[in-house]
Parts: sequence; C-alpha cells; structure tokens
Amino acid sequence: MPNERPQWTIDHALTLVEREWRRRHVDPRDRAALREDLRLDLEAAQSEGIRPDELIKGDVRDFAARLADEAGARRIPFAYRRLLLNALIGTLPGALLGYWMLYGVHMPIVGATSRQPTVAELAGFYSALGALVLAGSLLTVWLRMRDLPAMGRTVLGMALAMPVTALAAIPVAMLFAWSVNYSSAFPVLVVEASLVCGPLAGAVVVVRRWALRDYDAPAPHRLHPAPA
Amino acid sequence: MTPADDGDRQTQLLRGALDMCMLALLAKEPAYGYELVRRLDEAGLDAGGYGTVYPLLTRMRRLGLLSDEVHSSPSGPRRKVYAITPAGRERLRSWQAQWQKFVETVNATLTDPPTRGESHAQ
Repeated sequence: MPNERPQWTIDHALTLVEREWRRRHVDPRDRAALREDLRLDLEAAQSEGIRPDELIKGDVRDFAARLADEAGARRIPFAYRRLLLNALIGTLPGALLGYWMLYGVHMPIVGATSRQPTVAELAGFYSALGALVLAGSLLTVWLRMRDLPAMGRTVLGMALAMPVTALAAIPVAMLFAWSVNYSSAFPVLVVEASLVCGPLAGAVVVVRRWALRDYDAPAPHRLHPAPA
Repeated sequence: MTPADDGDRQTQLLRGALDMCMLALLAKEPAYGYELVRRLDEAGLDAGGYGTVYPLLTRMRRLGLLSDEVHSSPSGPRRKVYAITPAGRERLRSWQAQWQKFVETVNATLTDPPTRGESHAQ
C-alpha cells in the first residue's frame, strides 16, 4: 500500500500547527503573529502549486515547536503539571495528621465516652481537617513554586476556590457512595476519589489561568522587530 | 560508503553553514519563504526543505539579520519578503571570513604530503 499523506488545506495545516503552539502555551499574541506570517507563506507557495503538506514535510508538531522556538515566541508559564503535583504532595502531611487525629485521637475518645458527637462537632472536626490539608497544599505550592510569576495570586485563588469546590464535590461523592450502598470495592473508591480530585484539579487549573490572565511575558526581543 | 551515508554526511556538513548560505542568497535578492527553499535547491543545497528553512528565517529575523515586508502581488496573494539588513551584511562578511579560514585549514589538512611512515610503506 503506498504511503499516502493526507492533503491539507492551508487552514488545516494552520490548525495543526496552532494546536502544538497551544499545547506549548505560546502567548496568544505571538501565536497570532506567527500564524499570520505562516499563512502568507503557505498561500504564496500554494499559488505556485505547492500544497501545505508538500511544504511541511515530516512531523508538523516538530515544525511548529521549532518555529516557535526560533522565532522567540513567549510562553505563558502555566506549569499545570508542576502545580498539581505540588498541590497533591502538599496534602499528604495534613492527610496523615488528619488520619492520626481521626483514628488515634477522635475515635478512641468517642469510644471511651460512648457519647455520640453532635453534627456541629463533626462539622467542626472535619472542617479543621480539611483546613489542615488545604494549608499544607497551599504552603507546599508557595514554597516550591514562588519563583514563577503570579504565584501569590494563584495561591490566594486556590485558598478561595478549593474549599468551595470541595464543598460542592464532596456531597456528590457522598451521594454516589450512598447510591452504591457504601461499597468499598476498588472501582467504587476510584470513582469517589475522581469525583473529589477531578473538580479540585479543575479548580486549580482555572485559578492558574485566572492568575495569569494579564500576564505579559518578558520578551528579550520582539517577535517582529520595530520598523527603523 | 553508501549513497545514503553520503547524503547524511552532506546534511551534517550543510547544517553548520545553512544560515550563512541563506543569508548569502538573500543578500543577492530578497525572497519569501518557499522561494528561498527553491533557490537553495537550485544552488544544489539540500537544506532539509521548508520545515528547516522557515524556522531559521524567523530566527534570523529575530536576531535582526533580516527584515520582512509584506508585498502585494497583482497576480497572486500577498507575500512576506525577507531581505538582509545592514547587521545581516556585517554578520555575513564575518561568517564568510570564518568559513574561508575553515576551508583553508581543512584543505591544508587533506592535501598534506604523506607522512614518513606512509612513504616507507609504499
């Protein structure tokens, strides 16, 4: 079978290239400038009978990456992966301490006194645990990522958004647990964890985007030199 | 050495000189992206195609060695034409001098008379 390449239109080629620039968080202004330049070149080549797929041979993602790098396109430092990882790692000390408080302190006291805690006491206890976990997460993010731009705003946004998100997500997870009769089967636990962690991760991403909404990447050079 | 090896070697050799060749061609006459690829091909320089040449063009523009200008064409689409700047000409001169020296050194190495050991072996 012959090795056939799909025939791209100019728009299709630009879409493929732009997808890679988005993936690499290239600044939208630089993306627009690069796209316009490339469009002019592709159109000029097409007027001479050369299709975009004949022009951009090989790996289009590699081409897009090299083009952005060589042109000095600025990138927005979202650093989602690093942010989410640090936020997750930061929850561990709080979670372990909470586990110890719950099973090492709270449960024995409740067992010894045989008095059932009130709803207010339970709410206070779990809120304190949640605050501990959140504080650990925020502190870790701040300490390990404060070199990145807009991290103060990011941590502040997380401090506001994560409790609200948790308050919305936890009842949904509890509802799901109730619907499966509080099963402790592994797939059920995975779904429950996803129902809580998914929205929290989404909230972190949204907060980071919000924090960087006005970010103006430092440009050691202009993508287009100013006319003399 | 197989023809494929020859081609690889040629590509390796050209890699370090491609920006200089592009600058030299643009010093002769400004061109748009694909046009420059074609001119490199016509000059016998297999530069790796548009995927290699176009990003290099944008780098040289970023460094101020090239300027660009959109030209409208009566018979076709608008084109962004790249031309060498005074800084580009200066850089080209410097690269040319460096290249000449490099070629002379390599040539001298390749044309050295055989060593004494080799003469005895013959």
